[in-house]
Amino acid sequence: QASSLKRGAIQSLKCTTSNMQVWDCTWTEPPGFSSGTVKEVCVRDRLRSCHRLETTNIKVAALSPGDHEVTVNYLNGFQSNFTLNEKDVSFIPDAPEVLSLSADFTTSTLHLKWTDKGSAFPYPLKATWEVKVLRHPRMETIKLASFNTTLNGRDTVHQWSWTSDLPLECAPHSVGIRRYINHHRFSGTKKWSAWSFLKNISWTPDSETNVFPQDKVILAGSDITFCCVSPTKVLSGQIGKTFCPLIHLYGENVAIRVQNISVSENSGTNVVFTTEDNVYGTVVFAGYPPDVPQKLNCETHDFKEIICSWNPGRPTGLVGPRNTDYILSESISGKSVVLKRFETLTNESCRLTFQMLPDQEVYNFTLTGHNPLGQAESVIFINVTERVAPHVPVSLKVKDINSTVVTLSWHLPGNFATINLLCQVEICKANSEQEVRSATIKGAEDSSYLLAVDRLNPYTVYTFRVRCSTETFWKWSRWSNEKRHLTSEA
Amino acid sequence: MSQREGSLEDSQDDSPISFLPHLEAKIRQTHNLARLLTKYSEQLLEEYVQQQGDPFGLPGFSPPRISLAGLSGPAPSHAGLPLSERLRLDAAALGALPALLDAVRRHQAELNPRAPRLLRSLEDAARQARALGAALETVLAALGAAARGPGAEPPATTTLSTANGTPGVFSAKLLGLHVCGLYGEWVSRTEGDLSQLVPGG
Repeated sequence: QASSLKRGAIQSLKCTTSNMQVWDCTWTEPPGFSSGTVKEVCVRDRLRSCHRLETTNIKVAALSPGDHEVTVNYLNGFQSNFTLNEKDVSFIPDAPEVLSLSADFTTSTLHLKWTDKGSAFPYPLKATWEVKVLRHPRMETIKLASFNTTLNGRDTVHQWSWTSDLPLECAPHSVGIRRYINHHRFSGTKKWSAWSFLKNISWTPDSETNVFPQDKVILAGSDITFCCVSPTKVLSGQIGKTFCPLIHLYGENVAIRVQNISVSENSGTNVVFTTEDNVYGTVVFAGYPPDVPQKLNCETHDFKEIICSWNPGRPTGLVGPRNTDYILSESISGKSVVLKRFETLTNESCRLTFQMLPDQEVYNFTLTGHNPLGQAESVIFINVTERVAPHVPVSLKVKDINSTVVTLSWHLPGNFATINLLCQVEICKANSEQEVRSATIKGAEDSSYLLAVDRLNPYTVYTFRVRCSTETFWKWSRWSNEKRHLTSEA
Repeated sequence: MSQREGSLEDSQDDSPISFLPHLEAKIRQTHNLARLLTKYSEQLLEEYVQQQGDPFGLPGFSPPRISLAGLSGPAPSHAGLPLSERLRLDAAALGALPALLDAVRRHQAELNPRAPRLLRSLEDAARQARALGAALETVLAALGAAARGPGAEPPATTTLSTANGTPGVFSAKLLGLHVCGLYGEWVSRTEGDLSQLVPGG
């Protein structure tokens, strides 16, 4: 309302601006003048400008700060004047322009894109946006979100996403946006823009799928709404064997709300809506993201392959295509191997085989478990020469050298040419003590090894067995099979 | 009375037919197989229901029949048809079932990979349905009542879909339930029809 207005003259003068460039003023004709009366309106700023009009609306360039005299001259000589000040003007930005509204029905998420028309203001300004989501048919506001951005003199595209608790298939939705610009240099009143035109989103039924969401994987313990688009009256809605109160949406469409959903069985948890002559349903898979792989260990048996094993930890409750995939990646070489959908039962260790790389002793492994609910990883850094757990020695043979010395030979698969083996021989004499002797042996490739054992008693029955490790000890192999031998007579 | 290769087409009434010994043995063997598979099919259905989770198997849960691409249940009028026609329909159904049972197995292998017994039962059922179908065809051929002209070759593989192709795990569970039910119906139907061929049956 303009101040210092001559009573009985121009009435209810309102001036607004949407861009700080132009003031748009309207008023009602004084009593006795019909609308459409020709008049001349003069405004004094640095210069005096006059405009001949028939309407009661004038758009003038934004005036400089301070009071400005405005004179309205009617042809019959009647004149009215008043002062106009920036304070009398309301800054109402244009309604935002929505570029697109899209929906990801699988995640029940709406994506709104709009341009902030920042180019209309040459200097940075704080803008507040308000987005409303309306659900048909009652067009009730089910979501009102507010957030701030900065207009930076350029038209910037923004995006806002929102995930509906009710599957988007079950009710059309509309979205609108408006803005408020906190123009710190403007002394007039600042107001919200109008709402943008509403943008609508609705599901186009592609088949007789009636219940949503279909086959969703969710975190156990979360809440979820299932809805049914039904041509006929739905009599009941249940999850598993538990019946739930029906939430009426519109028409015959209904929903049920499930809270703190428990972990599903392997084949998922059935959600069923029953009508007079039909059943409609979906399956939900409630489970957990993969646990951090536990007791991750990597070692080699033969210096050709590195075997990594681990314990998957807490069961996820998800199997089949929803099961956990593991990828073992090695950062130095950039190589990786994948374990797809192991179906071993829980608490059994899983394993992956990584081909050793020539000239690489140090390996920096990251094991990542991934399923539809998330991922978790463990890392391990090894020097493979310090992680050798040889296979069990095989083909143990004993050969006399003389009555007190024999030669043991065995075969040990693996490429140990670059390291020394540490082997132990267990010597048992019938009904007597057992002795263990160690020996370091130069490694070889897939080879047999020989070891002389002396200081034996002639003509005596001994039982021998062998196991090996490496000089940089990690683990013993298992003991070989035993070999009984009668030393020769003296 | 000389024994001859009995023909189903001649005997429209219920007068006893006499067959050559080897044919009678084949009929008896096929009938026994049908009886055995009827029992197995009941176990299969039970096992299947158990692995789908509630409300499958609960008293209040009785989904309506589904129109299945490729096979429907024995019509109510089946019993009134001539024996040869019934046996031909039985054979045709047994010809369609293996591919459907295999499709159910493939879906269950994804859904219930840790239910080996169910998966094995489904695999056995497909093989057994094929065997029973072949045995029945042999009997029909020996009786001169085989289907006229080359029957439609059953699809080597099929996908689980209703007439309107509804995807989704729940629909596939229902389809599997329906296929297992059909399997039981047609096998027991075959047993009943064959029993009329078995002397003293």
